[in-house]
Amino acid sequence: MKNRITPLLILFILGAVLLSSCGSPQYATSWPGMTVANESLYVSYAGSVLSVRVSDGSTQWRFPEKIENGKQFFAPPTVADGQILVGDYAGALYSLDANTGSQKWAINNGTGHFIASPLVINETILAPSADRIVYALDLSGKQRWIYSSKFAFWAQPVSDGKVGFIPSIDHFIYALNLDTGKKVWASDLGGAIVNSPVLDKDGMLYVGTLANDLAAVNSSTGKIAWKFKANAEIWSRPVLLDGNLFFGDLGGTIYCINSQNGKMVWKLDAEGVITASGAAYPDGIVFSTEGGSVLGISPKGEKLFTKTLTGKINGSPVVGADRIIVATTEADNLLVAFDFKGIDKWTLPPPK
Amino acid sequence: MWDTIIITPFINVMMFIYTLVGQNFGVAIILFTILIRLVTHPLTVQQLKGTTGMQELQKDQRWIEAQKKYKNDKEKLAAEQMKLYKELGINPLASCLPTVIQFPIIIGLYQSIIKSLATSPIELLALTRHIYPGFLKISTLIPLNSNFLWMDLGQPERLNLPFLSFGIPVLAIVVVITTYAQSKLMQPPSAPGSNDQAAAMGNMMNIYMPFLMGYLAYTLASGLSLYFVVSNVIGILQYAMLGKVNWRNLLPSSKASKAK
Repeated sequence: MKNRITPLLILFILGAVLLSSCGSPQYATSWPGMTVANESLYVSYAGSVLSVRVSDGSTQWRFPEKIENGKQFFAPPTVADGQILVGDYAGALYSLDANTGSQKWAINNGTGHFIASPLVINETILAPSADRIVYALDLSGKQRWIYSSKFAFWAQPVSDGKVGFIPSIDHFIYALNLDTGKKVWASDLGGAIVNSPVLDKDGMLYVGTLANDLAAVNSSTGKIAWKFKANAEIWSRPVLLDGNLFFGDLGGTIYCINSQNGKMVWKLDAEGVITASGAAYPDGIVFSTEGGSVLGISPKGEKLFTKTLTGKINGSPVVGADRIIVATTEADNLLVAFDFKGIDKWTLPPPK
Repeated sequence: MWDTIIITPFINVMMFIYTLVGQNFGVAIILFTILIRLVTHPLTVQQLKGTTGMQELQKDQRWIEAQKKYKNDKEKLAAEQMKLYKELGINPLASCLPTVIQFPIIIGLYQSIIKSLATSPIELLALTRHIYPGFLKISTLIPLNSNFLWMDLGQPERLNLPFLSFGIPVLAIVVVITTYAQSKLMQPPSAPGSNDQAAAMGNMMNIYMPFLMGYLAYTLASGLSLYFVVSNVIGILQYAMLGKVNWRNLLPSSKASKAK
């Protein structure tokens, strides 16, 4: 009889372990988020927010100083007015001193993740959350208004100074009055929006969707001016450069589109899934694929350099102080920095 | 391999049901759990037959005597056991093999629900890879409508009432009750001469398992709690249809009657 109990007990323990280890939403993971400002790089990854000197990769500070249970950071930090604003996956939005990393204030909605970076405009913080609420705060963290929706907000808003344009995974872009939070318009783009739009000087918004479309939306009316159909879902934010839009799709194609009419100028195969937005640098645009390739592309579509890193690249590369910085996961290094020719400059391992 | 054979087909079928029932993920979980339990019903029947056979062996006078006679000779006892298996037509693997086959299906079902409720970019990216492109459209599936009754199936469930300052974990409580009911109802009546240690182990499982499941339901996404409840209820119904439910086990007096 003992022999019959042992397998039963093993089955029970195995089942309990499997059931309890299969992805609690409170400990969901994502990829690193980065922002460059004033020759400093701010990185959110897992249990830490790091400030790193762009020139040599030395760590300036870390928040929190020791890993704390439940604090998981993945949204790219926002730098404004001497503070770093960064949300975590337990529903908290922190304001940190940009020089020291010490906490100035925090709010906690207690539920959804902060997947999106906040936007600071006219002394108002717009913080969209996966708890389906957009929080508008002043620079001391005091709530001005909130806007509730039926689905989560995953992407950083943009603004023209009067209206905030907030994409949602419910397929809509919401235009909200910055002073009151009242909806000005909402435009259905036909697919979930998981990254930010770009707003040009003429008031046109450009945004990719998981329905494979890159859409141009008039920011005054919310009307769709044109749509470009890509081969696969568009996860990334387009880069606007000299009247052209550059972006990649999950199928691994990089596109150059005329922003005036949505016609394709060129495309090339990057041979890998692209979730990361491109980043403009003096010679062109740098793209990365999930498989670890980093490509420097000229505005005409010529490959300027190609690098292959170990690990995965899902977060967008950033450019600052003559460096291109890429964050990797499942690798020995969290950060890899190189110059505009693709020559390695420094690396930084993940914090322990 | 695991994803290709189990997870991806499960997710696609569940998402297909989701689109059929007007994009209600709660109903999709319920129907998909029922579907899986129906498909694995023959295994449940086979498992039950095997368990019944083993219980009959425990009651068999020849086995009771053999246990006494060969208590110091394990080889002879094993030979006697094999002989009785043949005579009574018992397949010793009949009770455990279906469990072994069902176990990965249940784990797969659980993981499919978790993966469908993608709440972060990396999970959503993984979900897009599970969807068969020619079968379902990502643009219509995402965002997944995870609202069901008062619950957000992607979050732990709490029922907030206006006169209470805290939320009541209704689903976690229902999970504890149904898990306990299921284990008690399926517990066979103890046979004379049966092993006390086994009975003690069974009782321990009856107590700890509901609390473990209740804790998981309290902390994990409520979509899983819904699956636990549906799975428990269907399990009870399956056993009831096969006439193997001991309703008396739920009554407090049954314990006293056993002790006599």
